Amino acid sequence: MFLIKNLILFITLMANFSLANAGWLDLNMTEGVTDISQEVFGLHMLILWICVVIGVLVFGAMFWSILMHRKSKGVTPATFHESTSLEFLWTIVPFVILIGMAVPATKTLIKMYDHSDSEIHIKITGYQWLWQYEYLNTNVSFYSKLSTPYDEIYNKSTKNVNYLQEVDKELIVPVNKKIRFLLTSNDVLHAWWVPDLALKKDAIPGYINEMSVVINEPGIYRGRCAELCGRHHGFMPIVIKAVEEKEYEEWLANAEKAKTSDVAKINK
Amino acid sequence: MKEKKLNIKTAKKLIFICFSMFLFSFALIPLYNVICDVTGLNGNTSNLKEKVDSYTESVSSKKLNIQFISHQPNNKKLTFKPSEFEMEVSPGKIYSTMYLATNNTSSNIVGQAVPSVSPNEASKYLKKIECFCFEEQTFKPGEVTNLPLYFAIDEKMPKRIKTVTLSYSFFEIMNVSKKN
Amino acid sequence: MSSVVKDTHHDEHPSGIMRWITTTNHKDIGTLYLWFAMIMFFIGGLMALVIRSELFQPGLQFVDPQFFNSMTTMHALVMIFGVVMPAFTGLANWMIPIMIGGPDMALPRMNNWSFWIMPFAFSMLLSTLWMDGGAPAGGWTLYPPLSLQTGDAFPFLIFAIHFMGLSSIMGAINIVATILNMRAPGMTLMKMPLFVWTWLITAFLLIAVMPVLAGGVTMLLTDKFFGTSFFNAAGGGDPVMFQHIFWFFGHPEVYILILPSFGVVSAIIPTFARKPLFGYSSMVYATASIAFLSFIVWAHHMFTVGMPLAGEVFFMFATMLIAVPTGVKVFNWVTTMWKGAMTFETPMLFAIGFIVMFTIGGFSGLMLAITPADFQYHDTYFVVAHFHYVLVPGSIFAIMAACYFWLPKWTGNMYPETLGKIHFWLSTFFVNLTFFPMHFVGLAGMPRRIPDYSLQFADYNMIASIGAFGFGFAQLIFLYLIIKTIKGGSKATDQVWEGAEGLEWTLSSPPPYHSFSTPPVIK
Repeated sequence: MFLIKNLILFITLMANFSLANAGWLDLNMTEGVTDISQEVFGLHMLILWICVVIGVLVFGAMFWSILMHRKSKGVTPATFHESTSLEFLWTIVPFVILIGMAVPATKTLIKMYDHSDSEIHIKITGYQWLWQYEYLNTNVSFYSKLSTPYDEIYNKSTKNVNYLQEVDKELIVPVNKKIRFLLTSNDVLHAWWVPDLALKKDAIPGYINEMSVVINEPGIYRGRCAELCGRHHGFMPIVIKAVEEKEYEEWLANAEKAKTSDVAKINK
Repeated sequence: MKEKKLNIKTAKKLIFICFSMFLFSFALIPLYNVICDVTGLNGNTSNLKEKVDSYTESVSSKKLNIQFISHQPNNKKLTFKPSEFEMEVSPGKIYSTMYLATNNTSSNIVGQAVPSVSPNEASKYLKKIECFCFEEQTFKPGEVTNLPLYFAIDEKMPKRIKTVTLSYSFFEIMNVSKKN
Repeated sequence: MSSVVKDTHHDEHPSGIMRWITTTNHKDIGTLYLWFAMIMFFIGGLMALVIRSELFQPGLQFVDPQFFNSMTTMHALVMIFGVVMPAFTGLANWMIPIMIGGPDMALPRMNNWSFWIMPFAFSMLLSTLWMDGGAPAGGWTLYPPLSLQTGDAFPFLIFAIHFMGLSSIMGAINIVATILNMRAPGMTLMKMPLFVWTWLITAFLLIAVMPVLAGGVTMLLTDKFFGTSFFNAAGGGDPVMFQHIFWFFGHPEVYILILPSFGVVSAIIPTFARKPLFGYSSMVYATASIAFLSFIVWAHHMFTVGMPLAGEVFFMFATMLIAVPTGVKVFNWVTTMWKGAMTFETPMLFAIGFIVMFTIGGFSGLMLAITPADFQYHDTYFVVAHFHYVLVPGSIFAIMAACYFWLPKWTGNMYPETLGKIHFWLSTFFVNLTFFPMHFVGLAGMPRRIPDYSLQFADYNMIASIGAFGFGFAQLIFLYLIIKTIKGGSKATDQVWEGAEGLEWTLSSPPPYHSFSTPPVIK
């Protein structure tokens, strides 16, 4: 009885999900909004399909064998136990496939490592547990931390759509311009990851890492810290707002002015 | 009995391998540093003074940008900043720049600036001729200190690297400051 | 357990608890290792269930994030060092001397020590759960500087790892010496069963890399307490250096956890296909090349630390190469089954389950090797899915297959077949329910080691949690079944399985306390 009850509960739960929740659609890696992230998605799909084809062949042969070559069918077992040509073949064929896979992967990697001609330089510093963004060559710098209220985390109020992926101050960047990020950390290792931009790099105290991106579409992109960094590792999201160049220039000018007047106030 | 001796002999050989691997793990540290110096693996520039005379001749015509950034502990005790953000430099020539440190507290701050270069592979072409990072620094209360840096870029710097960032992270040396 | 030694009244050994504490008999020590692994399996499993309960729904329900991190850390340490490694060492202790026709392990007294260090090491590790500052919560990879933030538990963690390492090194030395020196006349290296071969190679890996881990954690210890700065940038060190040391140990360690299971599966498949293993020598060479490659791929765990382009490309190529010998193994197993006369008793089911699901884990491993794509996979649930596929339906299924395969030999009793099959099907269903959805949440962007997540990951996490509880409870069947078989059951024949070949099947079931005192004749 208990079992049946649970089963019914389980099935209704499943049905609920499939109807009510968009979660079911998020089965795959994001294509992202940069040329490189789309290339990465292509590589991901390519290797996935190669694996699927090999899988179908190998498991197909295996299940055929399981169905046909069973004792209950009264077969007598064969006795062959080696075949040099066959073994040679299935060493060489995977090798060739792998080379075919490695070439496009290396090409994409080389593109990812090209940071030349960047126009905007932003320094990102990881802290336990927030991010600091500094627009280099300007005086604009700010901290960006989780803005989800505690009540939502401790289940005292309903969770909003952007639960755990919203921050008090977003990183604002222009589209269609090459942006170079310099990463470091203040305390322990962190990793700055925004899936839509296919960017992930570790922030290491005392060392700097760099990466660069050109965003093609305006929008809000959300990411997370991806390297265990202590108690609130799960609570230091990243939100990037990509805007048109003009809007960015205006925002930056205002931010600089605000900062200068802040500094002036302090100095008085 | 003969077998027992053989077993002990084998065990001894294997224990020897064990000990060598244990020592090897410690040998990895200097090995890693050597590899980093040679290939610029982690972007850590060597804290060694370079010879001056070898970089005064044959100025190459290509230019590249060098950026200066800094990182200091997040406690507002110290302001540690480069005096300029970016410079256009020609490989082979000696340049100088300045970092500024202001001690905002009422006691001495002792610490060490640790350099890091990005892209990592540029680190071996960045030659520091005189640098405040070579030694520990003591900042007196309320004092603004100018920290000079003389450097040159090796002409062998690969052409595809057009922007180099030099970062200094300042780490306070705690036990020393306590003594003071 | 008494039935193991029922027919051995002519042997002199103390009875009761002293028998187990002072024993130098390879079968007794094998049994101890296996029971130790079983206990740890349930402790580590309980930790996994704490993790899955917290992740059942978004929001923080049951545990503090710090304790959650402790659970992920301890779950990994317990499962790796306390379950898979001791279980394989137990199987090696039981089976290797018998398989090569030797009287016992080469160094019996050291054998006793190498087991009895383990309970001490793990009491020390588990005691940290009640310490100030909590149990280690920096991940089992112990990356500094985070791991240096551990509280009172830190030295206990380091010394526990030292002792675990010591135990496995001693075990490995013993196994190598046994295989090299104790073989019956005529048992040449290339006549040895593959289980012995894979263990010989595994033992060499252990001897080569456990001291490196010991060195690495010793450096952590001196960094924390004695003011060195191996991994501290302020003193001229580099935190990334630890990752290099750790994964120089860690990647061969991954193969330490899987190679013996290749041996187990290579013993089971031919038995139930009633056909000799296809490509014996290529299996040996494949194992050796996997072991060799394991030393030059470590940095694929660190693609995002900011290595130069050349480094990334080299480690990508080297990692992809591993797919070749691993593929050879899978193809050989399938060809062994081809045109055999198969029956599907529980060990065979687990072995087939192993091949299918280990291969799935292998595929995701191949995907992870593609560096640009790895930037999206790294440190997400996709990785969690990958290594659980190779470790749970991989290593753990192989261990279970081995237990079912040799249990009749060890105890002299057949296990209840239907119950065994139920155990297999439940485990397979739930293990996939747990780990398959993790691929999806990983691709959708959920990082690993987080106690709470945003709403788009909710559905698959709930399914995974249900699967985890199902898998956990299904293992109680396994425990019950083993105790029942030890206590009694229908008597097993000496050969046990119709297609079984090898020296272990020439002994009585259960085998005498001292087997092969006079070496057998090898054809």
